[in-house]
Amino acid sequence: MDITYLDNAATSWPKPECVYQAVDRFNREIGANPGRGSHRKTIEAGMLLLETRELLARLFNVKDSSRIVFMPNVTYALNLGLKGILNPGDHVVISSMEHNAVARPLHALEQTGVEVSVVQCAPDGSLDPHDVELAVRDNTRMICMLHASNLTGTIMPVEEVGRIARQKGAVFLVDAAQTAGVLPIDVEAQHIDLLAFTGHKGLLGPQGTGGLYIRPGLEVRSLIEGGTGSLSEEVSQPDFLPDRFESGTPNTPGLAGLGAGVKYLLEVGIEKVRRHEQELTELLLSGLKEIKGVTLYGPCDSRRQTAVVSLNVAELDCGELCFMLDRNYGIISRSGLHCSPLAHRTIGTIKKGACRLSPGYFNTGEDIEKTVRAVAEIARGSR
Amino acid sequence: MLPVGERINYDCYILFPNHHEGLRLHKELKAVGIKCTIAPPPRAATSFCGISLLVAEDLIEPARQVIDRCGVKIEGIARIPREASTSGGK
Repeated sequence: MDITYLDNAATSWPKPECVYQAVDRFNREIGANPGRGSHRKTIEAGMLLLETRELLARLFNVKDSSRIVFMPNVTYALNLGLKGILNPGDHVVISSMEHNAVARPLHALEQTGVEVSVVQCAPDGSLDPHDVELAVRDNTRMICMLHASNLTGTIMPVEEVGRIARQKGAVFLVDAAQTAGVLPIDVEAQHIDLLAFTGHKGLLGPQGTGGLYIRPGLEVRSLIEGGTGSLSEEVSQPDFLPDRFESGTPNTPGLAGLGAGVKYLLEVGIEKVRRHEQELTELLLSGLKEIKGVTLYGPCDSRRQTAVVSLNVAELDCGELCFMLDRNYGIISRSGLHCSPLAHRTIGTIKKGACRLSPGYFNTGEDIEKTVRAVAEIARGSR
Repeated sequence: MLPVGERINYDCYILFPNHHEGLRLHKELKAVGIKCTIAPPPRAATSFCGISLLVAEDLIEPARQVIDRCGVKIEGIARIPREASTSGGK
């Protein structure tokens, strides 16, 4: 059975060939620690990290690439952004579409006296920036928001909220898990102070890669201390970046692969990626809308969402739907709550969950047509 | 003691806070054709157990201009008399 992979919102797959080659080349031919000592292999390894950092800086319009620190994934990056900034008595504003990667660290911080306001989004996941402005208080230290929902794909008004954050003197932390490599991101134009990203989704890199951009001048506490290869006689952590937040041996093979993924994207062009994913989303939405018994969530408009479509079929359990798609048709999707109970409450699916279909750059129109046919057959059978 | 009129030759090591800045400058210097060699930093000059860039004395000024233009962070430039240097300056 041919496999149709539609779980790119979790991890993109397949990767461009250059990503596999970069990881393999590092493991076979380099293999050494970057940033330690001065032998030829450490230089080669260090160069790979530098290149990846500089490619990401180009992608996000970051002027100083040392302000991008590597982390294992976006969850670590969000934890650093939240816990490294917020203090007891501080107030933070989030949207009601946030992932648990934001909701759980904030719940932990609430126990220490951090105050959290959740701005209610519409049932399609959309957010009115004015509501964010109304939620800001005198003690608001941060506005934290995802760029697009992992449940509905709804694209958030990042630039407008960034402007509000700048006007109000709040730090603006953006969770770009679903958008890095998929939508244009410009930390300057969008007033982003902290940008958390993951490497294994839209950036087409391997799992175990990600990072955080930190605006120059913004003081962030380090959560991890240790060896950096710099200031080695000091017991205190270096205060300069990226060393301050990068202790221990990094995931160099993964980051080499991430660099290859970002380079590939820059060569192809984000606009082309977006256009293709938008076409696939349109095809999927228009096909699913015609099927009796299908309920679609989110904007149902490919211009207002990323390539993420969540649905339910009549009274069929969403887990059963995903299981049938997998077993009977070879279509890989994702059921349940997608680590986003806040978002499921917002769209009204907290009890039943949903089945999420998320095409990627390497999917084709035929993949989508096959999926629509499969859902139609399942829907007929469940009536 | 050196004979009268003989000049002391120095090896110049550009020192960095970390690998990132050192490799960045290496890339920038190479791009404009300024010869430099990645070398271990002299222990007497820094506690950084990473890299420095060994640059000929007469290329230090052009290298400084690149440092300023690109905003590379350096810890300083160590001038070590060549005979005391272990890297030889070549």
